[in-house]
Amino acid sequence: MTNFRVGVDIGGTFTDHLWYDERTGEMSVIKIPTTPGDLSECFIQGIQRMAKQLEAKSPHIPYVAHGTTVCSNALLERKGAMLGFISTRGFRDILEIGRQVEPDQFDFTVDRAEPLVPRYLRKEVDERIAIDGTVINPLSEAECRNVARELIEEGVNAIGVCFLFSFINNSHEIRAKAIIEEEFKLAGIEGFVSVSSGIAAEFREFERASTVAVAAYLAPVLQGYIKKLEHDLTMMFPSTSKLYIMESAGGLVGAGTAINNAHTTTESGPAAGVVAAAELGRLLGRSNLVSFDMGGTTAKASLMEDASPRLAFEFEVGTEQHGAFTTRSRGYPVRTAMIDLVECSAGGGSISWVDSAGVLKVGPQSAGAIPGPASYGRGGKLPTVTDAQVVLGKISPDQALGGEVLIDPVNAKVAIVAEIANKLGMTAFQAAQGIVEVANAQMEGILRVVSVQRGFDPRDFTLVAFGGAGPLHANDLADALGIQEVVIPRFPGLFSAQGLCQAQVSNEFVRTQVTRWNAGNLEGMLGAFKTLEDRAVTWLNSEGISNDVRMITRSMDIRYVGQNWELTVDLDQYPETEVELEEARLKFIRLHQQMYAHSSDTDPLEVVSFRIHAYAKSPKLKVRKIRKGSEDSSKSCIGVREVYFKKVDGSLACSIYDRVKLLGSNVIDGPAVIEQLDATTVINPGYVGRVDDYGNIYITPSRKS
Amino acid sequence: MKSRHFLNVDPVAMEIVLNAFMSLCDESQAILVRSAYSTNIKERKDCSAWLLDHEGQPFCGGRFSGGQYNNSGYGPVGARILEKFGSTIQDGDVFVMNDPYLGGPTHLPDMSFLKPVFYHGKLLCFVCNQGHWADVGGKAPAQGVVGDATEIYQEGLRIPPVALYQGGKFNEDIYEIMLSNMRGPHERAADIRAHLAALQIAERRIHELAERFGVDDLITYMRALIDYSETRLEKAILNGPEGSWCATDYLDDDLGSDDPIPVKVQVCIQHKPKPNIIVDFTGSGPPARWGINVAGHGTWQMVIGVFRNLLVDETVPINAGFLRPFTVVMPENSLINAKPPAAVGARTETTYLVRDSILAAVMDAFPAKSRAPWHGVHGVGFSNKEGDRYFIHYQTVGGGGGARTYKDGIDSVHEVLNLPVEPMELQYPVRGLRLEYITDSEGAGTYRGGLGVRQDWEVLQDVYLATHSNRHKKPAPGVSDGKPGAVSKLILNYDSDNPIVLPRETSNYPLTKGDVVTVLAGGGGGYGDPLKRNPLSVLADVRNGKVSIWRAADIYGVVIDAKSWAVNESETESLRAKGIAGD
Repeated sequence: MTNFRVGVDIGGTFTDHLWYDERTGEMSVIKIPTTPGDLSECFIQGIQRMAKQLEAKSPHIPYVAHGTTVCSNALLERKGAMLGFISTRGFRDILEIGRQVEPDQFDFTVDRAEPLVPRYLRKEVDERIAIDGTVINPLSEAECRNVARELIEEGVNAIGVCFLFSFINNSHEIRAKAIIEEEFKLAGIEGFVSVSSGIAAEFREFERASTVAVAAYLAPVLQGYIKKLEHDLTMMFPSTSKLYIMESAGGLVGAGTAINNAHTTTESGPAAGVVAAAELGRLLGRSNLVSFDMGGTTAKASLMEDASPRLAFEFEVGTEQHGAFTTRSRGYPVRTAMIDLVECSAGGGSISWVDSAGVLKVGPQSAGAIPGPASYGRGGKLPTVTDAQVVLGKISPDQALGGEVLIDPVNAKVAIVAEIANKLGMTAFQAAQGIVEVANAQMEGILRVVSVQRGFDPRDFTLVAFGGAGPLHANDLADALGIQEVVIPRFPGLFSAQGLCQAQVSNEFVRTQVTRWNAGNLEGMLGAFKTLEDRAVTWLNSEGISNDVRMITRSMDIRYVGQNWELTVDLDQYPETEVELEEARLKFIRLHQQMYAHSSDTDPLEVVSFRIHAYAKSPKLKVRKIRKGSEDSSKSCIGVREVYFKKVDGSLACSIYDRVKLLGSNVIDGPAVIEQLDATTVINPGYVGRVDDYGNIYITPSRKS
Repeated sequence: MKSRHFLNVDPVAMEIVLNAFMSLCDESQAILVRSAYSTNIKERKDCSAWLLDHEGQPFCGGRFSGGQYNNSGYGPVGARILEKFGSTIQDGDVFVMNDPYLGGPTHLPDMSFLKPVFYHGKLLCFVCNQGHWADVGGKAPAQGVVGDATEIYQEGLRIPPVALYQGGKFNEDIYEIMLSNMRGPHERAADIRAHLAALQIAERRIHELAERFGVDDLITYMRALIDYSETRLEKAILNGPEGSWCATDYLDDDLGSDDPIPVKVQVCIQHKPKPNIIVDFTGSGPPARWGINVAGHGTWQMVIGVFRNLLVDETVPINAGFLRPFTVVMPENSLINAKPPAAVGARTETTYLVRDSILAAVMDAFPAKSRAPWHGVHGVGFSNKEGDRYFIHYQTVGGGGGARTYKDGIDSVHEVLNLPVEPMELQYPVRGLRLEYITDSEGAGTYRGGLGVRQDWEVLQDVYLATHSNRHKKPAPGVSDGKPGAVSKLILNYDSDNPIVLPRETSNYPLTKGDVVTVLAGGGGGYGDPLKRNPLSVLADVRNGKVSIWRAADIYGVVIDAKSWAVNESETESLRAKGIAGD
């Protein structure tokens, strides 16, 4: 019997399955079209096919790690629960008013995001906790029961609760949850209840209320989906112990944790790609990385120093463009850790069109899995970025994309001529190049946001390009940004699925408890950590993580008394003595100096939140090396094709290589196209590709030019 | 012939440099927000960062600034610094100022810091930032932002541009004068540290750009950006309407007078001989006794801010070039062009009317971009001395936004973030009791104005209250048959047997532990005849408790059956046929 770690990454267009043989390090992969109507279909189909393929090895699956779009789709399409909301008396409108700020200073016509709960489904109850946790007004249980009944009668199937200061004293929220659950039960409805102290016990009532609303809005959708997956998985593999879901922060959690914290899964798939890029960076000894992931529907960028993903703790979900930016209220703020990534609507399947002023546009509409790009011949009539690359000769007309879809260049050309070239008075070729350039400009934009806009010079970074379309565009983008090194991983189209197999089971526990910094409060600080550690241990138990692989790290959010924003300081150990406390203080001062270029050695400090990060140390993926060869790559050259390059403003006879045949140390001079089942890599004129021992391709400017 | 610098520069590099300038301002502002002590900066992001070229002209700013005020008023400040310090300006200087009568800040709390940036001995530009300090002295805590002072001398310490650092040497004398004239000197010292750090980061980024692009090219880009803004604006004017439009809005009253004070505006847009916009405030009122006056450049800033939104987008930097197509005619020594020593603390009451009267005037000329007038401004502050320290609370309350020509106004909205209850209670002896929409407060219309809001606070010890608030008598007007929003009120102990109406401009108003202060922030103006409003939109408002079932019938002529939540179509039709007059 062979143990397989399984990663399943469902994207907008394709679903990737990767089975990793824990003994040999061998990876088996398939790519199938996503089934948007019922996402569990492409999940189960792939598992079945893969199991059949590997039947001889009598596969055993310890766990399946899953990157899902269920929650991000539900938010974008506003197809979550019918949600009710209960607040402290006088505050039901905070969910809609937010931070009151106009959504766009530059535009009087922009509105705030429509609230997830309309006002008539937002109720109030008598209760009030004071700043020190004492009860000013006890919870009116009768009122709580009444409003729960009213909401259930209106037809809600989920209720979120946010009371003021519940992050200090959660007793009212806990009681309210019990009452609401009783009422759901009495009504015979499988309702979902989420309380703010249970998912984001941090101060600032609007952000906490918004987080619990998002969580409760998504929970029933995620629950239905996961239950079906678990059921089908168990039918197929009774011994499969676990289904893990990837969170936006890049860690895996069990199904139960994911459902209760559905707001943490909105960037599930994109996070997996960044995890894989970080792992690759560590393997290759590169610490400054920009991960660039271009799939069928969107492109995402994320920047790393030290080869570890940067986390953001506040961001808005449910907007077309993602990213950690919070004052604009165009989406729904969520308080949770998330990999800091920026997204744009430029993918292989993004549809190109001409606007009323005669300007060429790409996206945000995507041809998706169905009907897909015109060249897939599955009924798509609108030109996509993929179609443009087919016309330019970069994607092979003979290629069977993912081994599944046959490319038809005639369909691609017909679509581009009808929708773009005719309207703009261009040739098909010019139109195709225009489409690629507009898409590239969008992607250059997000790469700039994560680098230049955050104070990093892209020239100091290695671009790790993946996703089905990433390696097609990476060289153009590196050229535009002055990036000196691009790495195309061995399986770019399945890289996110690989990240799922590499990720650790991991969770973060936070408690806001504002505490003055002095030795007299040491006990209180340790108490806060103790409470968190108890929760962490309970969770580790529930995930079935054995003692020998459990890891716990701790940190505190600290600020100067009088400030309102904190810095997170990692601690090597719990501060049990004054000396250790002083060490932590000095660490904060150094960090403050580093971040803000000033600090004070004498101003008093306070801790705002205590954090514990619990995770399982899982064995690293063993990446297999490929066979070694020489610089001579001619044996893997499978032909020559005319391919258009902007640099020469024309077509060049371009060598085509088969990725599978490439050997370690092979060198490929641009212009060149390297084909494999899951992606196509383009090396521009003036660049050179080098294959390393693991089969990764490094693209750098060639010395000759 | 004036040369247009941007025509000669690489359009791709220009885009990169523009983004780099904006980003370094954003980064600089973020450092202020994250590390300052003043609540206005740290929780409400009432601060900004921008850049002046080596001639003192603004050429770029950050992407988000606290409110519609912008860097366009800083040209005179830059010019003054260059004139006053001339050839003695050197690397390591930092200038500080807050005098609204010298350009730049529009009231004293907006403390401004400017640092010349040198590269290889050459003056490249100035990096600058501004933040709304909790206190700058004056007759009462937070006096600089409230409206009951009668002279600027009562509003705090007035600082012309002076050198806080000279060649890297700290000028302790100025520092001591500042801190000894302000409440909370310890916090102000920390604010200064944050301002200086933000300047330092901006300076570092400019140095990096100089290294990358070369000093001469970088200076060329700065100049080119100024021309770029002018050209983009001119093109936008040519793509828009020509014509002349006017509107008048009113401040409620003045100290010692119940007469409303007009803000009158005529907007004239011409495409020839070259694209230009004349904004004429002739007919606006005389200076007020209260601190609701505006220094002339504040009125300019509002005009610029409004037309930025109507004509272009955020990719066009506000700078000296943006000003060129404008002529702003302001009566000398008037409400909107005040002279010292007129008090200006609560100038926002007036500048919002400047903005909203322009918007109302051009609403039908810019139907896709404009909006009807909104609720005004409502600021509330609690303060007291605790031992040897002051606490100074201040926040603003968002009322209703104005209707658009094709959709409703935003409910409860403001330019600056609110102060949420939890962070407030963590810092101040004040308890939040309520933040909720006021039913029926919207200005009715085919598209309605936004709802106003009621916010209540209980004070947990004896404290002093400061307020500034308007639209108590003169509500936000409707446009094109739209109705005005509800008026605003400030009330002490609203739900008690003995409620007291509070003055709209006050400071040092004594409150007793347990007192409850209520702000009723009014609604936004509506657009179009309410009888033409889609009955289903009225139904949704009634269902959500935003509009009462009675008002639905009386004002909108829509009859709703509350049992089935449906519009009674026949009764609605007959009611609307009667053409009821509305309010």
